[in-house]
Amino acid sequence: MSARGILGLAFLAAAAAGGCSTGPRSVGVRLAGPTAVVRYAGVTSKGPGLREYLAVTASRGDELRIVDPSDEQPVLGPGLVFPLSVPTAPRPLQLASATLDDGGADVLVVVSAGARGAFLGGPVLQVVNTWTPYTTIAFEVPLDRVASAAGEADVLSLLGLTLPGGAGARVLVGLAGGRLAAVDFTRDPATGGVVASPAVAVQTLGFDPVDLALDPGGTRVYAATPDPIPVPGGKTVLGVATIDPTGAPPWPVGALDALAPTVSVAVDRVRERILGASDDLGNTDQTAPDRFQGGPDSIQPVQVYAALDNRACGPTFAINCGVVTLLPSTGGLAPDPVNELPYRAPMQLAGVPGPMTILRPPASGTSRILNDTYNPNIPLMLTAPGSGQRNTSRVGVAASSDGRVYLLDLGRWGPMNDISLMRSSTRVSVPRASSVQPTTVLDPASSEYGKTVGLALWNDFPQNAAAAGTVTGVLLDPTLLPAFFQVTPGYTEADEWRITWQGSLPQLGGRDGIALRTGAGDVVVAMQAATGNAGAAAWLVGAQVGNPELGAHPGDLVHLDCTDAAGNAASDEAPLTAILQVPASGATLAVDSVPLPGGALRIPAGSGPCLSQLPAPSCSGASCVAVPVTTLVTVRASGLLLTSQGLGYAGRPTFDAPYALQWAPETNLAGEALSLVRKARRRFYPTDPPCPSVGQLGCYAGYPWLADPLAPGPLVAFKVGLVAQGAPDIPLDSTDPAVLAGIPREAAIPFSTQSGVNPTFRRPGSGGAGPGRMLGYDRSGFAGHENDPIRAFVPFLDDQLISFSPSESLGDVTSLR
Amino acid sequence: MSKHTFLPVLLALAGALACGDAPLSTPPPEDRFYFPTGLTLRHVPAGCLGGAPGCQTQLLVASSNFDLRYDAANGGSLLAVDVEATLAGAGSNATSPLSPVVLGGTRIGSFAGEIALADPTTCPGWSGPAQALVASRSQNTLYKVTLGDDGALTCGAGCALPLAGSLADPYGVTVACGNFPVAQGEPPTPRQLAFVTYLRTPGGEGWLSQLDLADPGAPRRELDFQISPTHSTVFDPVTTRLFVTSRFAGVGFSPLRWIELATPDRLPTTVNLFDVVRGAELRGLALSTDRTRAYAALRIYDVDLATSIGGRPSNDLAGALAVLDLTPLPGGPPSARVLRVVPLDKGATEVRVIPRPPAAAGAEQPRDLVAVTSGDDATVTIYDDQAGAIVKVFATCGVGPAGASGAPTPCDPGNPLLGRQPFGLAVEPRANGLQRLYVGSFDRSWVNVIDLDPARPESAPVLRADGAPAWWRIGAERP
Repeated sequence: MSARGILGLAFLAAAAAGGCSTGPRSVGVRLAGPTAVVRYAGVTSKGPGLREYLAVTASRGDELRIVDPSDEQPVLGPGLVFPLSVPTAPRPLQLASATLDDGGADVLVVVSAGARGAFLGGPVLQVVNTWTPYTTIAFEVPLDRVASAAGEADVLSLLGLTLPGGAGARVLVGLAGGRLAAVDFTRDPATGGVVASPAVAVQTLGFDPVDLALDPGGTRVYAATPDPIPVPGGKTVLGVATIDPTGAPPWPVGALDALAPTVSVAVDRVRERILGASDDLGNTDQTAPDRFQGGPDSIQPVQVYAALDNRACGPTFAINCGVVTLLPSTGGLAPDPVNELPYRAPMQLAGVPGPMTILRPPASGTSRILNDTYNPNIPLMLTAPGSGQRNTSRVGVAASSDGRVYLLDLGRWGPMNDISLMRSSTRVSVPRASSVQPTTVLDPASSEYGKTVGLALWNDFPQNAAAAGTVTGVLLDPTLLPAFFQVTPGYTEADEWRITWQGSLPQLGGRDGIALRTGAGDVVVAMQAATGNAGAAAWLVGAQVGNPELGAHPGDLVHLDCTDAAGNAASDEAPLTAILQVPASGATLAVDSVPLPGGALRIPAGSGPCLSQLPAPSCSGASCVAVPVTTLVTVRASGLLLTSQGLGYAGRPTFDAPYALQWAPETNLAGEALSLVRKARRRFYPTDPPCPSVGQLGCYAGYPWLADPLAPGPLVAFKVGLVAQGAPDIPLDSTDPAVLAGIPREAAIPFSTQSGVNPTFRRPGSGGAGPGRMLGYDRSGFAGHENDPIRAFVPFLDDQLISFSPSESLGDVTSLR
Repeated sequence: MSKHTFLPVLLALAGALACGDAPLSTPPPEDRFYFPTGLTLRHVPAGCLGGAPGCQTQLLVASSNFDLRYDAANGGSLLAVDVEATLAGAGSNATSPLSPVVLGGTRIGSFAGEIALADPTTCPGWSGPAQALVASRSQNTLYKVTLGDDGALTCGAGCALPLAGSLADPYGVTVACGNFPVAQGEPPTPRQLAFVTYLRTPGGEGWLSQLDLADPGAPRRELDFQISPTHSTVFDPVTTRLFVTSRFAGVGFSPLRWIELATPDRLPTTVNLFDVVRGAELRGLALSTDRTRAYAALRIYDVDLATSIGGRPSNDLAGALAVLDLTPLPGGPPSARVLRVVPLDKGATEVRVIPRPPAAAGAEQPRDLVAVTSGDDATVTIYDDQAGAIVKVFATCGVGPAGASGAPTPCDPGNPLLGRQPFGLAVEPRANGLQRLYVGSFDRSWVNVIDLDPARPESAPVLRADGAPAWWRIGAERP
């Protein structure tokens, strides 16, 4: 062959190769608005025989897509250039599957939003043909016949389970109107397909089951619900319902008390870390956070994880928001492992919680870790948070409205952490603090002019904070001050704080209000504005000044701004003599015919420019009608005040005594005290080991008072003293009225705290909105994937299904589009 | 240049000028809608219930002249349509869409926005003839169109109010009437106010114009809402709170803000929804009938892309409906805590509450249904706030194994049931206990009229006595 011929052939070959190598490796899944994913065993056109697939709802495409979990590629349609489309009624949102346990194909059902496409009907179960390669909707099971008396037939939740004794499969349908329906499926021996029972069983629950989860035994269902769950005795419980739905209705229903309503639920047997104990030599168990309960999985306790409903959790409710742990064995919340709170602290999530799932170690392969140093022959899985790899028993995956899915280390009771809690610059700490004087001390026109007494911190608190031999004294130096705040891992959050002398209460500063002179001769002040409406809507409450959560105390200073008789801006200040609270009965509080729907503050009458202007009430005998006058109202603490941006009012420190914002049993508390301790509840459980020896303090640098990161402690604590600005090391006597008079109003110690926590999450590499109902999947049974770690598949509304493993990093997330 | 070269250039120039079209000033049509935006309803006599004997439902539709086919400056229109009379012509032989029975119409500027109605039902104390308020983005003008009881529309002297010259694209209009102080510290006095939002402002600032409807001579007042332009407003007459949604101004800030008319001169209170829904941008807003919740339509953009390009990406990732808690906190304002985030299709825009019928004595009043238009995906979603679930999506024609959807023709398979780009939305409680949903298709230029049973919204539309679905389209399809 000539050189030209060889060159020509080479060119053609290169062109052909180039032509073959361009373009994507696959046609893509082409999801349009996926909302849910389930696994099922079935037959498809992809290959012969029964095998597992993933079904994904494409809500905007009005179809299902089928994905092969082994290669994460879609099953193709007949044309082989598009993924298979399984058309459904408009807006498929929910999926469920169940095995009939007979070696045949699973039942797979899908529910679309509202009607089945026919305007006449209500929702239907659309049953997918999983038993032949012609994957399509095989038949429908109408659910409109189960409409409640009020006509409600909205499908809230869906779950498939296998009936015992080879009786087939059952699909449970949570319905609005507080009902649960069941449709049974059996095998049609003639076709190999499934057939639905002619009757749909329905039970009235009395609560809406918005999410369902099946226990590992496959016989009990847990239902999250925002409604009170009726229990015997005419009472109700907020939390998760238990339903035993495998028999004929009525199905037994019970309740797990979560202290708050719930929105999503997951369940599994979970092996947890041990607490550890010291040995005879006084050595603590340094390995405890990494050692798990022994024994087979089957003896581990069934634990139910439920995301609380944001409507009724948080610092003003009985429990903080997040994911709680419930024990069916006790019917309530799991106990606090350190015996402080009456329950295990919820695992906090950012945003509004969504669906959850639980990942187990794979069934086989090297990713099923059986040779962990501290846990030989106990199946564990690797996790890879930013703070370092670690083995654990179970990982919770929780979706959030912020477009992320958060990873929870269920074996260690809390969220995974991407940063170091106890070490490095990220650790829980006070990174900044200083003592500041207001600018008014420099203003000759101010009453604060020339005052020189400032706030400082004592160096004898917290324990061991000062080096041995240090003379007890007070500190102003901003480089030293941070070391004299006590923080506690698991409690202290990132926040901006301020200790202020006679500061204004956080929600009671500069508010629109009224003042009125009463028939009793004093003055009542309220933070409310006239709306011009009649009746109960006549006043817009600016602040419920009578509410103890806001922290007003008798003796505080009520400051009024007004315009004096000459038309000039003026102000008055008077001590608060009494707080008028709205009656608990809900009756309207009124003083001299003026309604005070948010409560009020009583102060003495005065001769200042604002108070003296208040018109006298018109009285007839003992009955008076007062005349409210609009004003600006500020309530200032009479002494020291602790506030934060996140928590608002945080209490009243006193001079020369430690002040700790710390949780205490809530049972017998009320008012302000209850409000404060609720703000100081534990947020999470640290997983760093205790100091090596019993009684040893300060093994972690920066925490000289700390023996065990897991131990309870204050959210923040400190001891405030006084110094003269010119003599910073000499403490002043805080009982000396002259010293107190020398403190300028608004003298303060502002400081910051950081939590040491950055929760581990996963999200798509690009985009990522609206994570939906996800799935954990073990691929170790597939050839070529024997050693794969457990994976999670999470649908996102922006047309992608992500696949990730908690054993891999954030950068290893795969998006299937 | 020589004479020989100059001449051809001159000739070419003359030729070019000869071929140029004169500027169009075609008036907008008076018998059809054209890229409709705002919808609202009026009942005559005021306060009557739609469908009750003697009650006329007037549908007011603002057409935007979006493609400037008609007069560029004043090619928009506002038409009043007699709904019952229009639907009465919908026999079995009637062609669909139905021709509207137009009671009156008037020209307005192009690129119209939302419509607000000022009459005794929407504005206590209103004594004059009813007015429809609608802003034109092209003219930067608010039109105060006088409505006759017979549906005649008049835009006479004083009808067109120029808005703030330094601001652009006025869009949302809300009427707020009640007793409010004029300034801080003053006693409340009867006032009739209108607030106008601006989609485009210098520096991405948020501004509202406040106009005094009772005193046209009173100076317009501009309210500064700081960063993020305003989109829509909703007024709660009981608390006097005016809620304001906002558009994109930068990554990380998606504010829902409110002011209280009972306490003027106060800075707006702000809640940043970005913290809860990453990439959220607000659009429409509605309050629940018990005023304890707000429903905000969100468009969700790609934050990473927005960060890299330094602006709002043109495409959305998804839509959502945020359900916010408006119950007051001890400190005064509502927490506006997000209780739920409901996934929606792309392009979520308008939100309306569909009230539930009153519960039986002793029974708990069920929460509202909420309708949202999603223009980009051409759908309307109905969310049930009692069940916390989406109960109905009006999506596409002829898809699904069960066949028909009840939509009128034309409804070719694959086409949107409601017509492309559903946008304007209105809800009418009916005397028969049903709720009537009005959905404008911006692209097709018709308005869907759909009756639904609030107890069974998933089965919408309901069936009429003759067995036909209660779903009509009004307005000729745009060619």
